[in-house]
Amino acid sequence: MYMTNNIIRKISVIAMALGVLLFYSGSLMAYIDPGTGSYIFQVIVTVAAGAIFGIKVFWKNIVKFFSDKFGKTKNR
Amino acid sequence: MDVNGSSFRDPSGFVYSEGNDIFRQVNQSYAGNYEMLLSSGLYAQLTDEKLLASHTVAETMPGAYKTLKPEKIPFISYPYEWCFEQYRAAALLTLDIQKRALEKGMSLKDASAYNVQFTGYSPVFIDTLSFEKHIPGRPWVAYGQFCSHFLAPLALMSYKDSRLGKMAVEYADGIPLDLAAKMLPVSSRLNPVILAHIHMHAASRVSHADNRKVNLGGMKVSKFGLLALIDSLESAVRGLKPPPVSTQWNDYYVDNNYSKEGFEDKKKTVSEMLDMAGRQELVWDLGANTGIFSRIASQKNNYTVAFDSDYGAAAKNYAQAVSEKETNLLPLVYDLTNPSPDIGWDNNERMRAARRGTAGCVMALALIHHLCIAANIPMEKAVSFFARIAKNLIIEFVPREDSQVKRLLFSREDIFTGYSGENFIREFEKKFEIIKQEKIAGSGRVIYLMRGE
Repeated sequence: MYMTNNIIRKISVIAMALGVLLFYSGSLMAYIDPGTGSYIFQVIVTVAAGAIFGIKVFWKNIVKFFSDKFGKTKNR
Repeated sequence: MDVNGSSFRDPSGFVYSEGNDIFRQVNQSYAGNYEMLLSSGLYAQLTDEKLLASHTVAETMPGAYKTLKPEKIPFISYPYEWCFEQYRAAALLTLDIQKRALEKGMSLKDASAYNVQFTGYSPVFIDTLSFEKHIPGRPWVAYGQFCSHFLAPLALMSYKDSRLGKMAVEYADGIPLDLAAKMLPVSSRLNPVILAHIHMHAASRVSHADNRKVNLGGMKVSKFGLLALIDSLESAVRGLKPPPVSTQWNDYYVDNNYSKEGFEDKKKTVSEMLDMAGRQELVWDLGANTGIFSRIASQKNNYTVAFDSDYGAAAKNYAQAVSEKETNLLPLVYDLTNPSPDIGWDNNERMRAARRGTAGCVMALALIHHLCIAANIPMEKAVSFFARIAKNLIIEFVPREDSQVKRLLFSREDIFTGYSGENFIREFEKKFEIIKQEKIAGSGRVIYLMRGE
């Protein structure tokens, strides 16, 4: 939990800095309330989910590569 | 113009009805997104695959950008009336649509479970105005809503009990994640995706509840990150085990009062009475169990809603509807003695069943003893209920001598002096004309076809 809070704190600081830089990009417009906690957490969770997803995609490509190769050999 | 009671939050447009027709107004503010939905090919892709309800363009009303006439959903249902697998199908549909939207440069701006309806076994997304242009870097605005509307109830049903699906009545805008986290067992924390999307997500919501220092506009998530998020949510939804189907009705047709001959006789009688009632746009089967008799109606081209209060029965019914790709039969979990109420703003957003459609024919087979004896509803009150909802009524009377009635009376004092065949006829004849009656072979049960006043 300490680690999570630490990450959240760091991201909040970065976000605030970005917020100043992107001041004219406008604030979030949504007719449903996205919830601050949900928003911040989504930014964090996509990092972990992205890593897993990256491995999944990479693995699928490897499997596809070999199955394609195997398929070609078989067709010959 | 009768504006739909649930269609007022989104400034992009609203739904209204005129007579029997439903229309959706697209406001000028949504013009760009609407055109992008069409020009990107997303609308065509989603409607071709029957994931999104299609529409035709109607005559534009004054002040509108466009007026659409969406395809009609035969009967509106709500998440608290779905069994686990229906809920799951609706969740996966929402994620699939969000994934396809991202690929076309758009995104869902909300992920309400009420945006999904069922046409028979098949879920379909109904809100054409939920799509917006995806701004690169912007997180998914509806992530929290998806977790509250779908993941939390599914996890509660899976880890604890199907009946927790009814919590959605109380929490119309999704189950609060902190509440779900408290209710889920410790073992749910061992599931990494549930740990993340419910437990840690809930903690983040609580700890940032009053955080006004963060500029959310500055938070960026790449498209790859968003696709990863959807993949992760999909894993979470797919990974939940369906709750065990233990139902009091599981063996009903094995252990009941019918001989094989009697059962076939009942099917034949119901079929003949449905023919006499004529083809109907909507048939309700109340106390439908696993839908054996509902299917007699649905196979005669009547769109049939099979209501039963038992999650296990509805789950079995839905599983069969899926395996046979039935488009004319909608199983729902619905307790007649405590039905879905009018809820939401001004008690007008989500409606009781009777406000969602009128059934041309109502079937109530082997139900009256449950109403009168198990639920202590006097016969005259049952009659006035049926008189309000049924033009044609196919109803079965189950006599006192029947083993099912004896079972109900086994552990309670018999105070039901008004429960008799004579009283049944006397009370129903006050409001209905009896068109036909048939005794079921090998049992004391009688099925009646009645016509309302």
